[in-house]
Amino acid sequence: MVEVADLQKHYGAVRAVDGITFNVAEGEVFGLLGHNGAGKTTTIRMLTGRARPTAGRAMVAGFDAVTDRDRVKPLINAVPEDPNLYDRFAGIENLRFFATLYGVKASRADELLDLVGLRDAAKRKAKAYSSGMKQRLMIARSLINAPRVLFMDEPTRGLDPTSAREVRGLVAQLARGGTTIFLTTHYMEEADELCTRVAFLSQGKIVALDTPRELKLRYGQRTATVLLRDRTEQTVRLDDPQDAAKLAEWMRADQVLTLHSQEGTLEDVFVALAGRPL
Amino acid sequence: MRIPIAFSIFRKDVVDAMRDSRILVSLLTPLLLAIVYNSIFPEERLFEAKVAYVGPETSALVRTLEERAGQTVDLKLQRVDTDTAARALVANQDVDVAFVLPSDVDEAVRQGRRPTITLIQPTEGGAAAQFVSASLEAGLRGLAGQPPVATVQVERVRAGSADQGVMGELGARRYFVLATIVMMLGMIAVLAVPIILTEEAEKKTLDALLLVANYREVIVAKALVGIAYSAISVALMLALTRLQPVDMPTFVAGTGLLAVALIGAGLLLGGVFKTANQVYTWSSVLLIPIIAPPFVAGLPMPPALDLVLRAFPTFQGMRIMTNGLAGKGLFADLWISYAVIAAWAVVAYGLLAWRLSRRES
Repeated sequence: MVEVADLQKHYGAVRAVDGITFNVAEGEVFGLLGHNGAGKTTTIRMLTGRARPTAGRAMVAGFDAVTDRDRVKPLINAVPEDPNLYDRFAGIENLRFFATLYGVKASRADELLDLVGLRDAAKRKAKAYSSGMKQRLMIARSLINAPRVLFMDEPTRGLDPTSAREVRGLVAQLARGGTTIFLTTHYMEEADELCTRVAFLSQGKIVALDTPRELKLRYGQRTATVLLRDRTEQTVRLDDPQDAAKLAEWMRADQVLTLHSQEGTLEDVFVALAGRPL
Repeated sequence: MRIPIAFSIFRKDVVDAMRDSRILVSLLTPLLLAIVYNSIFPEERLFEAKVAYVGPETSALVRTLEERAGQTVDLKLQRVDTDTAARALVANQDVDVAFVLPSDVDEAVRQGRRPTITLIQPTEGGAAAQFVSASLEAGLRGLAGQPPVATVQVERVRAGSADQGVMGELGARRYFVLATIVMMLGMIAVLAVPIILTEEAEKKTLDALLLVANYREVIVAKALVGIAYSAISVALMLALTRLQPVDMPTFVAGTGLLAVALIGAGLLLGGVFKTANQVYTWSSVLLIPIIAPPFVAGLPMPPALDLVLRAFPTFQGMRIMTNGLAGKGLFADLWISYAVIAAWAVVAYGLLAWRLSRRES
């Protein structure tokens, strides 16, 4: 559904995106992770036809994102990083306006308000919405044309835990419905929960790309937290022979009260690859 | 260019702008000025004549009355069925004067049958009665095919004043209303239009628009908003001040060309500024060279200053619109005025196209 080959975007001497290559299959939730300035938003802007690549090729839904962007536009949509609603318009007016732009029936706006749970707030001005409500309205807006590919740039940034959970629920629901989702996020747990595959972007380059489980196994540290009979808690690295021997000794001496093994996290993977945490 | 998309954005902008107090202020200020002009220039108020008549409404005499009223007489004409009704209206002072025409009056005059036309007026007469009487007489001569025995040419001289330039000839009220119309076009183009465009970028709604539209469609929509506001505002201003351009094509051509050129400049400004507040702040400064020239265009001035001001589109627009309003050539060489405004429009839209092509790349 998305095919990217050696995609580059340079701003003068700065290589914002420096030759990235990846594919996203239909119905997949693909995560692009990285620091601020790593090139995530620039990549989305190129894939959605809002920035012209310096070099390389990007195909979206079977069309070239640059030369065929007018054919790509009806097939995609995006949820931006920051709220960008028409504040003086009611929620329903925001959706109906975009319905007319895409040439879809106005009733689609009502359906989407139901989907995101904003039916009761339909006639309230968007500026009176909470952050979570605005995010849900933007998701509703992004679905107005029933896109085949949905780009979501930090969809839960700045939301309280409840709103973030609701948004993640919506993303999972869309993915189950067959929408291909291209997601950028700072939150590793979110990527772990939602994405079928993730790519780590650092200084414009992809430094790793695989399923979250494979990446954690490959780059993360397997550890175990051990509670001993003297009530002290110890953490041992399972891949470290000395720590493993220590654990075996505690076991033989019947010192272990509880033992919890843990796989590495995506954040560990990111630190291992990028050298610093997000 | 997809017209339905541009038109949808245009409709959204019109609704949105009506909810934005900053834009409303820029639209309403000149209209308030028009009301002020109506009250501070009483000497040019229209003379009102309420007239009732009995007879055919298609009569050439009725048409003559309306034509002669023109812009100097605010004629309120009312047709009634009987002489008695006409007399009652005069007696009750509901009208200033009434007249009764035979049903075949035009034919009778042409055939020389000397029909009788009755003028019903209050005992003390009045200006309305004199106006109707004189108009009927002129109309009857015209119907009878009698040419006027002489042409009376009216020349107005303002006693005791020095050369007041075109403003003196046009009259202060009409002159200031025209200058205010130009000011209004400037405020719409350099304030309202850039705010509408800049706000889209500032609030990042432009990103959402560009997922479905392209830059050209967005820009065309904003230009349409400016043109629509300009057309409505000018019509409102003329209605409020009861002015009717004598040479309508010239007036419309001048107003339209000036509005298009200024809107091009406004769209460029909208691309330069980052926030609507910046537009609001800096537009006040930029409005000075736009607003000031039309207010002095009709005044006597040193040749050097006149030469400098001729480079300003609003100065030239004022010249065209003055001729259109007056229906005569108070300013000569209007082609230069059209050329200067057109040159500004070409430069503004050329730069705009260049910026758009850069953005799209």
